[in-house]
Amino acid sequence: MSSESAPPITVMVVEDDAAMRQEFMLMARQTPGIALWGVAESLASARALLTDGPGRDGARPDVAIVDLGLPDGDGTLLIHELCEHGGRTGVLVATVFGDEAHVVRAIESGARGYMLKDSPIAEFARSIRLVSEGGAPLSPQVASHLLKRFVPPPAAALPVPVPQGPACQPLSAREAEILTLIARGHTVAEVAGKLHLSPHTVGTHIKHIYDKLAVNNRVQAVNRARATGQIE
Amino acid sequence: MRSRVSAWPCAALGRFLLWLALALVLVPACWAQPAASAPLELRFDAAEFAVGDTAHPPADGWQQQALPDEWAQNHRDLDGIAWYRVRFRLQEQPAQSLVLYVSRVAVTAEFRLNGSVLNPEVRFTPPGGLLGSQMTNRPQWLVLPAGLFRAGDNELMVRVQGDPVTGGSLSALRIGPAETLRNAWLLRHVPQQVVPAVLFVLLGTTFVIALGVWWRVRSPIHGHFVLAMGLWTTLLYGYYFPEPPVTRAVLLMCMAVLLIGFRWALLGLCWRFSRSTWHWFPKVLNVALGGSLTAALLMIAFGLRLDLLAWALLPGQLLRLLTAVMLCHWAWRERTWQAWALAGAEVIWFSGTLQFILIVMHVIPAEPFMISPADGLPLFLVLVALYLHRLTSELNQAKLGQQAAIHAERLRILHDMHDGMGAQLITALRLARLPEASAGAVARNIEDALQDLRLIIDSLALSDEQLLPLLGNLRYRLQPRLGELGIRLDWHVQAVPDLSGLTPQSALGVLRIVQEALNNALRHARATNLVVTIGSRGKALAIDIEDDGVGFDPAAKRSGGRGLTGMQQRAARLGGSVSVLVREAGGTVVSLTVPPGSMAALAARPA
Repeated sequence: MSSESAPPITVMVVEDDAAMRQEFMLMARQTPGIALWGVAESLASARALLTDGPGRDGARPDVAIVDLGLPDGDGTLLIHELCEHGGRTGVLVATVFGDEAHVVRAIESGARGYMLKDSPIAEFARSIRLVSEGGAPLSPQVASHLLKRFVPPPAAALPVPVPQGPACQPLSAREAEILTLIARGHTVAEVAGKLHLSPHTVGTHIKHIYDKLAVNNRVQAVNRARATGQIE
Repeated sequence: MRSRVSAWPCAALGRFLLWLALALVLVPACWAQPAASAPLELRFDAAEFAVGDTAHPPADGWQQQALPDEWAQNHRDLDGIAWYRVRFRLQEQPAQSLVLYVSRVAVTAEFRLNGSVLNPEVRFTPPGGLLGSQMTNRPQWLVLPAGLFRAGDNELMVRVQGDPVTGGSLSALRIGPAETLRNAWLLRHVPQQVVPAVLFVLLGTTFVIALGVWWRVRSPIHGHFVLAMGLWTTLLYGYYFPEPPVTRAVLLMCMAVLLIGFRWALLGLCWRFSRSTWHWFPKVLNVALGGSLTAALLMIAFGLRLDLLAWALLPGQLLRLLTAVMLCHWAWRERTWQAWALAGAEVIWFSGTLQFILIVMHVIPAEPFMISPADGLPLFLVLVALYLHRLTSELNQAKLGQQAAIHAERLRILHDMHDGMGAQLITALRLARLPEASAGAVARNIEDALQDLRLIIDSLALSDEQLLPLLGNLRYRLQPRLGELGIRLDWHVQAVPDLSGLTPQSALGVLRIVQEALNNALRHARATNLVVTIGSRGKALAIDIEDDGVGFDPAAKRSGGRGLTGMQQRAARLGGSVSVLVREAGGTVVSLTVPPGSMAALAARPA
């Protein structure tokens, strides 16, 4: 889809496994329209890239592929740093299983989805393009998790009411509809067809859901900090 | 050596109980001897007695009466107010103030020395009105200023109001210096006022804590314990009301109902905490106390004579005796500290009542002390100890159960890995070792293993018994490959039946069958269009995987539980079935049907 004249999508790879790193680099080099921005094997080297490497002038990659289990710390820390202050980098988590425990943690830190480490090159390119355009791949399992997060179970089933801060943004009816359909296994295109929307509109809704999650996460973080007395 | 160690507490406890029994018999006997009289000490073991429902003592009708005087014994039909009078001569006014000590008076009494009322705060019960002062369990200690005495003739007057049901009573009257009478007073004050106060606080605390435990555990024995503690606390609370704001009738009704309920709960609890072989005991208890509670309630409802309520309490007393016998029998058989302690405590509890009955019947003297209601303290302590003992063993059991569940889950995951991906990896390894190994075949087997591992992991994330997100995830992962191969997949989700009780294990079974059917369509059938329909057939879950390829090879039997046979075996383990329809026009339909409930039942079956 990318035209020849458009500037290439810059990609940063943060992965501690040497063979996997090589594989990602190879795929990035082989894919037209994608340029490798930097490669790091640890949190420290990734931060060095952002402060002293190509990012010393405040430049940031379009897309970052981040492994969570890095030798010197958790990849979610890096995701936080890349995404705070409205960072323009779209982050994908590199994972072997795409399991809920890993993916949800990463998404709550600001990641825009995950990429399976055994993805073929076409899928690799597709995901990077989607994220660089501001979209977000959303798996049914993550969608079902998000539904539960945004829509608390009926009050009667809970021993205590869920504290809902005024700043916590609930899902719109449309967004909940989209999440429900995706949780049932439908693709974005199918959801668009069922709801008589354009795939682009559905993509925008999904992006909004991610943004709300990020905002709510920040609100929760502030509330948590306030509760523990870290801020006044 | 071992048996010696375990026998020690029993022997010690036995000795303790023996001494206690001796003390109960001997101490009152020793105390009954009149103490050496101090210079200014007077003791009246007899008084003049007259009946008179007036505010002032009657002019005539006085007769001699020995003290202590129990109305139930000596004036059966007396129901109202009676007067006692003693006269004594003093050479001179005493130098210091003295004390009037009366160990027992029932129910309300006013004391006058030479016409001066000594306890003006006392209130008598007006006919049909709210109850006056209840003094039954409060030994009287009244200070007599020296100025109240006269040189020459003195007169001590006691106005006693009895109770129509329990009667009235007045013990011997003693006048003397405070220091001489203090010990005698303490001996009654401690068991009748201090110990019950301590017991009340302990009971209330235990009740609140046990209520909290019951709220979490919700097992019948905890509920039983809470009920018994609650009723006991309420009874003791009533005991502390010197002037309950109710009429006598209401108090009698409440006490009768409470007392029957309390005994029912407490004796039942004793039975539960024991391991007695008298299995008929709870039936007898329920019939006797259920019957007496019904009788009491009927008497109240039909407004029968309230003094008959005392009869409704009789079965409870007999059951207490029976419980003591039952526990002693159990202790004799088991010879554990729990058994001895519970039996001993129950005997002490009953002995308090026995003492009271014997006192009222003039068989034993009322001096120097009465053990009721302090008699319940040992029973309370033993019941709490047994309760805590039980609670800790329950917690240990729960921990063991939890460990067993974790172990079972580990075994299941191990089994799942062995069943699918393990076999696929071994196939891949065998293929790779062949001299003419095909990289494609090896890769495909490893890919299968990875897919299966993802299904296992997905199934572990099963939440709220929702199968659809798991099936959706399977499709989500497959979609890039379908796109690559140019295969179109139509995904239809219809109303899915209730999957309550769906376990990770059964979810994994469904996922593996669907994965295998899709793999078959992709790899062997050379299909270009796939239709997956998730819905229901009747009440059963139905998943159809339809392709337009060259068909299914029913003879194909591959490793790792794959192929048609593998799918059918998996479906059978789920309690469902798989059918394969090869269309003449081309294409295959694999249909999985799982009836409701069978997926939940799978969890109960051992792996």
